[in-house]
Amino acid sequence: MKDKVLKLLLIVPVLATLFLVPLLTVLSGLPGSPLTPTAGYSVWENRSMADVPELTADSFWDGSYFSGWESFLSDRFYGRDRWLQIHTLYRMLRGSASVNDVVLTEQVLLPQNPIPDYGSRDYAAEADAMAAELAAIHQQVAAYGGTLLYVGVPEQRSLFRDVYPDWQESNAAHLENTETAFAAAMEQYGVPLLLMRPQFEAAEDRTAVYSVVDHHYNLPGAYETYRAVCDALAAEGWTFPVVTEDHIQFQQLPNPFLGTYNRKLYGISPVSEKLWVYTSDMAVPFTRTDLGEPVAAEVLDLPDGTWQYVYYNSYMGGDVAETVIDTGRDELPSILIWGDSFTNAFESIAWMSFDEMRSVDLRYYREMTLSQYIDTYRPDIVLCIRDDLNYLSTAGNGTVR
Amino acid sequence: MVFSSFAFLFVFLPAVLLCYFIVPRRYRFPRNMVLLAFSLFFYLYGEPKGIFVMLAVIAVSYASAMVMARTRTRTGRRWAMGLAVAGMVAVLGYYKYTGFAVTNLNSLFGLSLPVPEIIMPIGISFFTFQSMSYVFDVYRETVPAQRNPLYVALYVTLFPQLVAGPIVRYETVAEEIVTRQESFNGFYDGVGRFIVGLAKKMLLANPLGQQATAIFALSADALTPTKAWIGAVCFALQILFDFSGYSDMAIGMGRMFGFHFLENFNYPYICRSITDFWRRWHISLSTWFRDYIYIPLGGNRKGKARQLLNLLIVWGLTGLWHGASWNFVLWGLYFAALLILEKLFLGRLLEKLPRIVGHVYALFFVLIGWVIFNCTSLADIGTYLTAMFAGQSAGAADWSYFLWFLRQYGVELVAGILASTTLLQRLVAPWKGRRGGQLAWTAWLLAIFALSLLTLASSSFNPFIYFRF
Repeated sequence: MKDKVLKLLLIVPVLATLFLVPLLTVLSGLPGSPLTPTAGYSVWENRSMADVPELTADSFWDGSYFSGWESFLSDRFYGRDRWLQIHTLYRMLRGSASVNDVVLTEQVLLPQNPIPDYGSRDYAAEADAMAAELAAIHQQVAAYGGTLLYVGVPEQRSLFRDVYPDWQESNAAHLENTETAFAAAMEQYGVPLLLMRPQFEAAEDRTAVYSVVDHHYNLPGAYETYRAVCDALAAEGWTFPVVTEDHIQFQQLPNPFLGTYNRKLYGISPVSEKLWVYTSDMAVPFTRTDLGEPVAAEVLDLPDGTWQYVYYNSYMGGDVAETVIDTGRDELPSILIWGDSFTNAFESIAWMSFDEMRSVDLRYYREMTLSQYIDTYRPDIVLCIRDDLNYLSTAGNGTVR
Repeated sequence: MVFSSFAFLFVFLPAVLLCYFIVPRRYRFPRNMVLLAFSLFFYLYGEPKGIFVMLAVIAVSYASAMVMARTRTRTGRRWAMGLAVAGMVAVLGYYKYTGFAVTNLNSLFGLSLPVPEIIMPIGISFFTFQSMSYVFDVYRETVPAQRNPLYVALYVTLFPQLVAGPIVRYETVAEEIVTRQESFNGFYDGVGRFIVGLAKKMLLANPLGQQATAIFALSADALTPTKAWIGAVCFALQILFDFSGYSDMAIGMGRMFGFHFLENFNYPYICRSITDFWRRWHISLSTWFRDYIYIPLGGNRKGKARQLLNLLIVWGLTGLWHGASWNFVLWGLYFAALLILEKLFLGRLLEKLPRIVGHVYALFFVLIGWVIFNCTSLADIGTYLTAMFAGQSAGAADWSYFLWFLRQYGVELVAGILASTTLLQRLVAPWKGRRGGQLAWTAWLLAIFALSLLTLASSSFNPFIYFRF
């Protein structure tokens, strides 16, 4: 082989790559092209891909026009998903501690925790401040004869903290400190607290109640929480129809389920699961409004076919700033539920027990504070559902007044 | 625009290669104008407003050189050079040091002057130093003044080295701007060098940099000795492969277009002393300061005391060049102190000791230097060094972290350490001339090129440290 041919073996593939990638990107975007362009929405990253930036005098001079091109090009180059998939496979084959920030264990996908840096935190003081705020809401609700219940659920990484390999950071100490301080402060202020972790930890098979690919519980886990809440409210003297095991049938959708963690692995996750849904003979007609606008009376957003991906946001349609479900049964108590996305699966079952179910997510709801909202609607029962990573967080659903 | 970006690799680079090589080789001026147009666009893309600053600096250096070319008297030439350099220093000072100066005046005299928020044009330290190099070289008559302002602009703005060096001296490329010869072999060498640089950046600097960034951001409570040492080592490897990777890409692209830029790194971590380290690290900056500051100040020709003072001045300036912050000044003076000690006695002592002692000594102090460099305040430097030498171990948790680190970054760590020595080079040397060896080298380059692109596709952590200077 001549020297020149040997050198061409390097030059040709490199230049071919540099020229072909942009060429294929342009060609795939042309109308009628047989090539599939990179989609405008990535199911793996759960985000819209960048569009061609708009050229204005401002965007040109402040540099955002060119940075917009940077985003567009890195989002839309030809075969992007395939590239990311190959890189993910490479990281898996290498046996990295985590792949795309996901820790792969035999049964469960978990998030890669950062290096713990909690030494300067005063858990007791933070818990005290949080509990004091919740106590004010508790007093407000009790003043008109209502009941407040705070439901603490473990986040998936918390419930499976012992599943992390020994050399992986599980954040166990931080989680333990958080829960201990929070529970003590809530007790001190007399705010009713229902901790679900002991019950879930006692489950024979934790993967039966918690997702192995997503950071939430699964629907059976949400149901267990619902039943525990029903027991707690019954103990407070509230009566309402409870959806018992005889009245609910769970089944799994055949569709591929994309959770928080397996979606990060671009479809080559070694762990997978199906999404749970249910049917119940206790379902009654109801109306639903989201932020005051009437929407379809549905609590499960089901796919049209078995080929479509399904997500946790199939429950209640995902995070919505405000949802009201009215069953028109005035004899039953009304309920207000606030919290992060753990509320969604819970609400998709709980609505059957109440007259009116209001749900607000303070990360998105801006009309009024929680305190004002309670003053306005005076729900009989006020329920907060938050995960243990957020017990001390005053962001989003932690800001109540 | 950074080299390791889709915009550069898949739009800019193919476009410039196509437009450049489509012009027949005999049309040197049009080829140069293609390079100039793309270089200006390259800068405009990253810094639309800053381009006027750069053009003004180029205009000043061109005008100064022309005045010097037409002035017969030495005084006149000195004035032309002095005014231009003063102007460029003023520009650099205004954009880079005003905020720092006002902040320090406020704290020194208890003033409350408003601290202006001046956006520093990318690469200002590089293009002002290159422009000054041109003015100095014309003043010293090592090169004639370039009469074509477009060629002066091309020299300063040439995109491979525009925003992060190496600082190319005008005398190095003066002839090549006008009469260079692009060649197939040069293009091949350039492609290979570019790939090596890209791989250094994407496969070594970025991943190790992620861990360095995470560790340097830890609070004092969380910073155990194990983590602090790993963070320091990661940063030392990150900055080496980040910067030398950029230089490799710049040199490689220069070769594709027929330029021969001088080397900027020569395995700095195999140094046997700090003096040796600075002969191997950022060579273009060290030699710039040596030739344009240290030697004109008298160098070592005016006695020991003056030499030591000159060293302090040069290294104080070297520190300040890297950034308007006291940690950079301290970093420069730290190396000045070590270099002075080596000049006084340490250098001679090290020569008598076994080689390994020199290596360990130099690496240890270089590592401490990087801690000073990477911490953003004097308090942070204190916290970090305390953690390294007197921190509290977290026992089993530290061991777990170490195992995790090896699992996640072990390949990069080992590859980084090997690549920072000449070991691999020596191992492959006997095979280099052979056909099988060349085939294997080509396969290796293609593999790391592919892996670099895949990593780029899935990478969000992609800073170039030297862009901020």
